[in-house]
Amino acid sequence: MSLEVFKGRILPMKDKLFRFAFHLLGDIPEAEDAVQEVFAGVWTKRAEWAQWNSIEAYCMTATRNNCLDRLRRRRVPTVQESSAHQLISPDHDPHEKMTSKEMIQRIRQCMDALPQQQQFVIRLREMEGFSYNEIAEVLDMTLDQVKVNLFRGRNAIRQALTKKEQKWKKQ
Amino acid sequence: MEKAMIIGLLEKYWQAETTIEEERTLAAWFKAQPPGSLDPDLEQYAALFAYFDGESRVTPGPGFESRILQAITPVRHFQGGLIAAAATVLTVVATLILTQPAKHPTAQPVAKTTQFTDTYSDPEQALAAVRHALLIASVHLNEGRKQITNK
Amino acid sequence: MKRILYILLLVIGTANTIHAQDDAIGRFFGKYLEDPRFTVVSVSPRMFRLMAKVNWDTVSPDLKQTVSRLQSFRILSTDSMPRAFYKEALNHIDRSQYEPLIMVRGGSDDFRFMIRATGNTIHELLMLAVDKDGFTLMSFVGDIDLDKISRLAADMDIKGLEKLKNAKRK
Repeated sequence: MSLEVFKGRILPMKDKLFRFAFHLLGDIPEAEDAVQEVFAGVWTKRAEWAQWNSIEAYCMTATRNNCLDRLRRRRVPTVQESSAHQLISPDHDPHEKMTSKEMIQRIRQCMDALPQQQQFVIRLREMEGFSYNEIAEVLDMTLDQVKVNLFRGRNAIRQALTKKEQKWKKQ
Repeated sequence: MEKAMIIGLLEKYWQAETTIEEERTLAAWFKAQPPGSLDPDLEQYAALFAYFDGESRVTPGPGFESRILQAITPVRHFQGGLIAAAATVLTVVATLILTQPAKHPTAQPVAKTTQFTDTYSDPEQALAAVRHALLIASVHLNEGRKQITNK
Repeated sequence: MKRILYILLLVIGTANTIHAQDDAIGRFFGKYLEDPRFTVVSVSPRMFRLMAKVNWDTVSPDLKQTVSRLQSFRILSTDSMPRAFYKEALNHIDRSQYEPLIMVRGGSDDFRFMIRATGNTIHELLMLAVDKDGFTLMSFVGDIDLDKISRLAADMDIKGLEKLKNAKRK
């Protein structure tokens, strides 16, 4: 009985949970591990399913907690916000056309340099199309915090992309 | 005409004032522009939306669903998940053992085969397999203990 | 290609453990190690030592401690004649060495855990599971802590999840 419910209603969430974990962890095998652990835990608690208001909300929260735990244990320190736009090397001549590959590399670098909260909000919004409400619930933030993080993150990326051009124009 | 609307939407976008629909409109418009047709500053934003689009397409590796089900019903779904990576290595090893001429024909075959022949040559893969098996054992241990306390 | 295969065999040959497992379960594994009806996974003590050098950064403390105390691991699995092999495996288990821990019988499936212990120290954990589609035997050898292993699947942040039980529907 529980297995049918699991296969029919819970297992179908696997890709969404995987992408969520991936956006938090940035690593495919690790995201898979995290989701496997979450599902194992949800299965273990199957006697409580009836008490939960939303199995999906539970799974998303459990995934978030599992990922945050893993991030806390990582030894690599996070980079500060102010250096986000400084990471882009100034050697490139703006009059030379950047290949789209180079542009994407820049964006990736900028994203990685963003503070964790901004990164998460941007990923959930831009890549998964979550509403502000959904982001607030899943990351345990207020709506205002979501909007502020989104604003700051987007503008940090914009600055990182356009800063060089402004710098050259001043010369 | 269209371009003016896009620039307007972009301004809203930087203010974090756009709706999801409007963001989809922006992404779709940029995706539809032929490469090299845009002004340099707009071109950057095309790359940005392309990056977001790419990152949204990430998928788990093969056997993902198998491994999830395996933790719960190890018997039924064993073949698909944990073992998948091991399969090719195992075939190689098995073939070698079978074709290797017997050096000590009088030696007991049992003594040879009870020694460990590692399935994985990469410790990372071995660790992944052990972790996965521990998860399976854990799920069932919990289940078993629950049944005991419910008596 | 042949050279690589030959070297592989040499490596495996020389890497064999010092202590050959002559116990009953070891014989059962040995019997079916090369049987095409079985899938086998084997992780040796040498591999466990190599694993200790792998990046443990994001692994939970419980998991880290559990794995670091294991010496070896094996699984044997088959989808042929599962019930028959299950019975055979059980017959191979020396009851003077292994004691039953848990047994769960479902309608169509069974699983059981057995342990080999001296006093309060558990040296080996066996899990046997069978249903109409297959039979699986897992063996973990080392310093086994059942509570830690139990926590691996149930390890979740209780605080964060408590409020979900009483949250209003949106």
